[in-house]
Parts: sequence; C-alpha cells; structure tokens
Amino acid sequence: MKDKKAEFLTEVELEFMSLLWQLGQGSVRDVLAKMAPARNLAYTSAATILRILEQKGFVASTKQGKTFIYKPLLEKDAYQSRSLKKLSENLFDNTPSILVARLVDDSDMTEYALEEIRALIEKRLKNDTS
Amino acid sequence: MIQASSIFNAYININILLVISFSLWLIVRFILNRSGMKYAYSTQLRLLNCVFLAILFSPLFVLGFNLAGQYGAIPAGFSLNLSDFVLAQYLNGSFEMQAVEFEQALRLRDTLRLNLLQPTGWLGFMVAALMIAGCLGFFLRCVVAGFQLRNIIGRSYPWCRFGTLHLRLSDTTSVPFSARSLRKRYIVIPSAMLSRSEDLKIALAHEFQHFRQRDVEWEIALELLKSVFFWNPVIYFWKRQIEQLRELACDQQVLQRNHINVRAYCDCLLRVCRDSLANPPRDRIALPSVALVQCELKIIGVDGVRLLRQRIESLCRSQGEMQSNRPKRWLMALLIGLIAVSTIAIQDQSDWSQDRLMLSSIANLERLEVLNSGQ
Repeated sequence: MKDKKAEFLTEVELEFMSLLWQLGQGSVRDVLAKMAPARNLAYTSAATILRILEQKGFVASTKQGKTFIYKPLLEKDAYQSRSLKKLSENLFDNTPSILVARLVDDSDMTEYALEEIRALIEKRLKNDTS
Repeated sequence: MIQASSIFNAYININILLVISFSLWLIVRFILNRSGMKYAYSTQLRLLNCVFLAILFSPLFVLGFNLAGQYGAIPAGFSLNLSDFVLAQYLNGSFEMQAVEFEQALRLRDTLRLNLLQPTGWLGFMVAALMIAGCLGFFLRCVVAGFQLRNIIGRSYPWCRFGTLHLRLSDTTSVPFSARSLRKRYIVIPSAMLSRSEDLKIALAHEFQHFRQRDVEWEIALELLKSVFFWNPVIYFWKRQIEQLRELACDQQVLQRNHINVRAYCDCLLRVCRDSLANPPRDRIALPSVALVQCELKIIGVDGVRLLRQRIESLCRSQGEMQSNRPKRWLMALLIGLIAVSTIAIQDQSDWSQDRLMLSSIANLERLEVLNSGQ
C-alpha cells in the first residue's frame, strides 16, 4: 500500500487519535467502545479511518490473530507542538508572543491557570540561563 | 482545401442545428410541462441527451438521404433544401427583395467560408485567429482541469472497489463527486463524511445514480464539445439544461429507489453545501466531474445556489407526484425526425439549378442596370 504522509489530522482522525492516545493501543472494537454510544459509528467506517491513519503514518498496525491492533506512532505532545506551530504561523504572524498574549487576555482564564503559565515560563527561563 | 471546406461546412451545419434543436427542445419542454410531465425529469433528460446524439450523428442523415436519392428511393426533383424552397418562393414573388441582396444572403455561407479559410483582409485574419485561439484555449482549460482532477483523486485514499468502480476518501474535498478515466470510474467522498452514516448512504446512492444515468460521460463529452463550439451561446444553455435535469432526475431516482426520507436528503444537501462554503476549494476551475451539490456562484452555467434551491423545492413539491419516467419513444422519434429534416434542409446547395441560374441572371441584369444608370 502506497503511504501518503500528511502532517495534520482531520477532525474525525483527531477524534480517533485522541482515543488511541488514551488507550495506548487498541483494535477497531476497542476504539469504538471508547466512543460515546450516541456516536453510532459503523465498524467499517471506523476501520477505514484507522486504515487511513496508518497510510498517513500516524499509527502502525500489528496483526494479532484475525484482529489488527493499532498503535500511535506520534506522541500527543509532538502533535500538539506541531499544531500550535501551524496556528502560530497562520494566525499569529509567526509571533508566539501574540498567541500567548491572546491566551492570557482570555477572561475565562483562572488565576490558577495563569499561575501555572507563569511557573512554566520561569522554569524555562531558569533552564535556559543555567 | 476541399477537405477543409467540407469540415467547415459540417461545423457550420452543426452550429445551426444546435440552435434549431435547442429551440425544438424548448417547445417540447413547454408541452411536457403543460401536459402533466413537469416532474418526469428522467424522461426529459433522456430526450435531451437523445437530441444531442442526433445532432452529432446528423451527417449520417445526409448520407442516408443522398444514398436514397442515388438508388431512386426519392423521386427526381424532390428537394428538402431550405435555400431551394426560399429561392422558389422569391421567384414566385412571395416576397420582394433586390436580387443582388438576395443572392448575397444566399451566398452568406460561401462568403463566410472564404473569409475564414482564405482570409485576405485584417478582419478575416483576426476572426480566424480568434476562433483558433478560442478553441485551443478552451481545450487547454479542459486538459488542465483533467490534470487537477487526477491530482485530487491521486491524493485521496482507496476505500473499496467494485470491479472498475473505485471508492476513495479525500481530505481535500468537501463535496462528494464522481469522475472517470478511460478504464476506471471513481466516487470520491470527503473523509469527514465517514462519521455521518446517513449522509454517507445518501451521497453514495446519489453518485451511483449518476453512473447509472451516464452523467459523468456526458459531462466529459460536453466539456470537450464546449471547446469546439465555445462561441455558440446555445452550447452553454444546453449544458445548463443538462446540469439542472441530471441533478433533478438523480434526486428523484435516489428517493424512489432507496426509500430515503426527503427531509434527510435535503438536510444532507444543505450540510454538504455548508461544509463546502466553510472550506472553499482552492481550485476554482470547473472539473469534468459530477458533484453531489454545486455551491459556487457562476456567471455562465448553473448558479449552484439557485440550483440547490430548485432541487429542494422540486423534491418537496414532487413528493407524491412521482411520474412515469418511461422513455417516450414516439416523442423521441418525432424529435429525431425533425432534426433529420432540419439537417437535410440546411445543407449547402452547390448545384446550379434552373432557379439559381435565373436568380443569377436577374442579379446580373440588376447590376447592368445600375452601371447603365451610372453612365
């Protein structure tokens, strides 16, 4: 099968990857079982989505008996960084400070969350200077 | 030059036939609408396609008529030629006109042929160059669109396959569509649709129906013909009619065959249109494919939004009024017969008949009179 590498996931694929990140690895039935019952997704559709994810290079499969077990090849953190980088490039003129400023300006941000951000920045600066 | 002249003659004839046939079609459609067959879209589509095929095969009617004349199946002196008929009426005094002007009008096709095939003045050269450039331009556009379509299909992911029909999933398109190459047929579905099983079922049923109606083949043929007859406005009106009828017929057949709820069907069309507007395709060029919905506004051709409204209105109105879509063979035969007669009637008459000799003599006498009065 010819692989077609893609950098980003579609909405449905992201939903599947999130479930696989939670599971660590799993079959089509495992992923479907993790979904909300109201989702009502056909087995064949789920299998197709996982097969596409494999072609895109986001997961790898191994055969156990008659079942394919899918395992994420990309860590969630790595995909988060990749997505944020794209967001920063496309929407924030490649200036991360604007992105952070917009995030901090958000009125929904709690004091605790802001403290966490401050702690993260201070930790990073300390590491850089040392 | 004889060959070029014959090809040019056939080209002019087909252009005239396009105008005549489309006028005939409009009359037939008016009659169908008034005779309770307004919603028999499949019948209308078949009739329209049949008329188009009759135009393409019109040279065979002429060949048959000439052969019938040679083998004595047609009485000697019998003519269906329109110019012969008009000339006879002129000589009988049915209408008045200067003989020179009338002769010029009868020779209009010869004049056009000479000016375009052997241009002498700058105007002739310019028109001939514009015609060639237009044909090449439109053909090139077709080729580019074909390559773009191939790229979109190439970037999509194989889903499943039934014989030569390949179902594929694409991240780059938001509207399901059908296309084909020489050997393979494709249905491309947006991958996001996999999570909406009802929409997926409707989209597949719709695209399968397009293949049953041979809409993809017609679309490719019409796109190619558009590059040859690009200057003739009738080809655009024709294509618009076919685009409208094929979608209306397809919707109707899908609902009849698959027992899909009208509301669910309309909701699906609206959802796909909304998705397409939210993620507009980067390539605005018209692809030689048949899509579930067209959402773009077009100046020439079908306005997608208007067609969508028409489809939904038609689905709601025609519900419970499904009409027999059996092909009306007598109507088809009548239309083909009229086109055959028109084809024979508009043929270029190169023979010098008695009437033509008489017209030439009258025209020469008129010219002499003008010269004499000038002296």
